[in-house]
Amino acid sequence: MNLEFIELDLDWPCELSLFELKNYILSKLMEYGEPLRWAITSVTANSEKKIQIISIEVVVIINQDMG
Amino acid sequence: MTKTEPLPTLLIIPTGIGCSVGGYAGDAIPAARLLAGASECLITHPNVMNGGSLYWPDSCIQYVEGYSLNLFVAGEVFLKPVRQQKVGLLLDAGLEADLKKRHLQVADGCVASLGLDIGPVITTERAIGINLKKGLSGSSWGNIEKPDVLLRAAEKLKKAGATAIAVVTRFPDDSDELETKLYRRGNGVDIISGVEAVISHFLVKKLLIPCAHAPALAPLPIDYDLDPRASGEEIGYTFLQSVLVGLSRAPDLINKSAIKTKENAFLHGKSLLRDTDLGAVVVPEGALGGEAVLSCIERFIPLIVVSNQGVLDVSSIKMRIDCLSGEKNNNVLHAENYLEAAGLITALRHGVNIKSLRRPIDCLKELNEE
Repeated sequence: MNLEFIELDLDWPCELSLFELKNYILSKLMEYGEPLRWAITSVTANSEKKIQIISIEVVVIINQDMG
Repeated sequence: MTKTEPLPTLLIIPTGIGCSVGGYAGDAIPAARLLAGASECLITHPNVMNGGSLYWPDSCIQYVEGYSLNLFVAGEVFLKPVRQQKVGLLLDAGLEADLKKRHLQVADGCVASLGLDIGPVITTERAIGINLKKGLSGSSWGNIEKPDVLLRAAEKLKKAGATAIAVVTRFPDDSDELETKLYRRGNGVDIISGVEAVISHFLVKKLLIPCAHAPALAPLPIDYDLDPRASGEEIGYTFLQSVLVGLSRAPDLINKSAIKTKENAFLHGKSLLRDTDLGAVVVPEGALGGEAVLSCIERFIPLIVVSNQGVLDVSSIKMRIDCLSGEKNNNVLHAENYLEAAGLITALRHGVNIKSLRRPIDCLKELNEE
């Protein structure tokens, strides 16, 4: 078992409501490991794509058997 | 005259983001005391209540570690207030003999002078290894080199009867000198606090037991320009005492599945605090992107957003919270400071319409006029 600190950006599409945002983020973080501690650390607008970009800082647990 | 029921309120000041109030050594304790007085039931976390050598026990405050708070707000865990926890002490094998002895003496002192129930004590089989990191945002983070070693020791403590766990790990002394200097002078982020939260989150996730962390460091040379907010960490040899006091009355964490049966639900009765009991959550304006805050928003818990400058700018505007206006049960209130937040809590608790306290007041409109 290891812990890893990761920084990543995610698209936040207009149609995704704030009420759905937590589960959306968790589903994305699960691709890296088990989310242990995370937060949105910035939100920036991308006017070309009409979306917002959210930056996440996270520590995930990576179990050895996950490869 | 009837007594007004408490309004369970959650106070969040995230660790390691340099908040003007709560970014230092327990400097949000006065705010927590005030909000506890207003609500008569405040739930908050170690970053708020741990002041290094300073602490403030308050029967209206529930000391709940951050990962547990996330579970609580999400409805996965309930809180059961207790009279006293048996606090196991987990010491990192990386502690030098004298530093280890200092911590054991603090624990002895808390038993002898404060009447806490502390023990058993365990030292990890190897040094845990702590790495400090800083995110691009300026927040402090970090990593544990040997999480398995930490977990094995914590499991032994729990098996031996500990109902809460205080962890002391050896932190590197050679962390960023400039960062430390800025922090001590009231202009920086607490570079070690992010990984402290990682350690306690990890153990709570694995063992579902109240847990908090105290860093072990060699004493720093005196700084004649020390900010008062950092002074609580300059008084003694350890930061353990505030952790032990906090954990000694931390509520039990009850998994939702444990009270599914009618019998268990009856046994726990009204003594449990549930997410549905929450009447408000108080959070800094720039820190609205945390897991607990998002859960509160999902559950329409009134959000009191307080101006409290830190390194993050995840504001109500950026999070589109202000765009929720008009949606069901939208309850987002803004406060300039914690004094104003206490007023808002008092109004919510006593059923005073917040609109009636502000000027100007709009006339009532009939539905067909809208």
